[in-house]
Amino acid sequence: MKQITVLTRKSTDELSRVVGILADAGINIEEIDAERVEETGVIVLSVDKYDEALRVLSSHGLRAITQNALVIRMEDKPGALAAVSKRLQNAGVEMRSMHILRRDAGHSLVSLVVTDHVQAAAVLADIVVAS
Amino acid sequence: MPLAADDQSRLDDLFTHFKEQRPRSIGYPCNQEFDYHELFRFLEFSINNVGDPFSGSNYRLNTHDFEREVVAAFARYTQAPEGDWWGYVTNGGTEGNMYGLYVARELHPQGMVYFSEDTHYSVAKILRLQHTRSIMIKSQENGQLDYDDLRETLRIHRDVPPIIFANIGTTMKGAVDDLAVIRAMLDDLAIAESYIHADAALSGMILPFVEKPGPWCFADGADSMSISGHKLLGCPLPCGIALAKKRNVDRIARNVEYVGALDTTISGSRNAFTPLMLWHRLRTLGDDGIRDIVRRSLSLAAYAVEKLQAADIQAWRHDENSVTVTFPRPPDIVMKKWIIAPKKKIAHIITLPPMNEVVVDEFVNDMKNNLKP
Repeated sequence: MKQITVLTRKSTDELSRVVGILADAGINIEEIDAERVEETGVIVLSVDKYDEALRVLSSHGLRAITQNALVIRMEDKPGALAAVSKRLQNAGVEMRSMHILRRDAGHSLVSLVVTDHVQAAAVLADIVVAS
Repeated sequence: MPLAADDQSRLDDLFTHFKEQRPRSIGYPCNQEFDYHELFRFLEFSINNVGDPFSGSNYRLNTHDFEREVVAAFARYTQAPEGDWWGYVTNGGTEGNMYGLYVARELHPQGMVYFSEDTHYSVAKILRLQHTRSIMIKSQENGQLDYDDLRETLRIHRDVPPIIFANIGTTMKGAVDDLAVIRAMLDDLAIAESYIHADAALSGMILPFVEKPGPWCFADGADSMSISGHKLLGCPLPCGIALAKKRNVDRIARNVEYVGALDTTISGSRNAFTPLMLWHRLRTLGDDGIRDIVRRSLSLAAYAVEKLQAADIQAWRHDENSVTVTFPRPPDIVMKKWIIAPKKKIAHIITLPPMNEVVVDEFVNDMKNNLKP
């Protein structure tokens, strides 16, 4: 089952907004989970029409992250991303890219693309938000 | 067969649309004041600059001579090392960035690219396309690289050759990363192998013509640069310049010899008309003409900041060398009238010709009248 992670601003309306957008596009949600990370809402969902869902969410200005990326939360301090990359390297996982998605309240949400998704999620279990 | 009346009418509508929209397009870095009519006669030929402009081509309907002169002019503006530069006219800034990152990756296959949060989104696409490892570095509030984050990242990854993607004028805030600071950091950390590519899309044609440009070009440590041709100079077709140190280009040309050509340009067929237009622009303006465009644009940027601030709108620009005036995202009604590219909570105008004080005043009035009290 394919998974999408959607980042939203912290608001009670955002979950219903995401659900509404997908429903209007005729996309069925098979699983949904939502949590708050400081100022950010993180919605993890599985849908029946994966590519279409990505397109429609993006066209509504929502940050939708595909399932080949891990989302991690970490302290916003110099070299923090490099330290994560080093942890992966020490565990034999090759890192392809690290992108800062959002920074607020002293923390960063970061998307991570690696060669071995499962192992990376295990290595970074303490900071993974969505995998 | 001539166009059918309906088709002709569609073209007429499109032309009218462009005429109407042009004065409202204030958020994108395009000088729209140009006249290339002397070159229109060349549009009757199927011209193509395929291959390396410095190596000749069997396809004789090319403008390689003109392209070489254009590249030489940009090499002079960017203080490329005498006798050790190479370049070509690209189809825009992105291709120049792709070329620089390609050279860097070929020289340092195990390298890691570092780029700031404020870097143009196309760079992430290039890195994915080239399958190059990358880590995003935080940006400071003003849009520059966060040097503390970069230093710590370099320190932790000391074993990996760093490829630094520096912005010489970020897209949204016009921020210029300080190449001298980056070079000093690399020296201080005793990193033997490194590469700096500088994306100077807009500012690359501003900084050669100001009194205090700061460290930004080859003389300050760049190994390759990308500059847009259609931005400050103005050109109806997107174009740009890729420049790199020749010794590096020669090394990668040897590496790719197996494909049967030493040519390292990215595209096969290449536009032969844009080099002609850039050549025409450089010849008709001369350095003094470009300096005058830069002076007028910077002066207008200062005027726009002053007017916006006087209207209680928090406007600013990176420094006195920036034509990018940043301010809080305008209300939707203002966005509907003016062509502006916002990002999250901010937006900007770019004060290139034909924008003038009258246009700025009208925009400031619209902002003022539509802001919530």
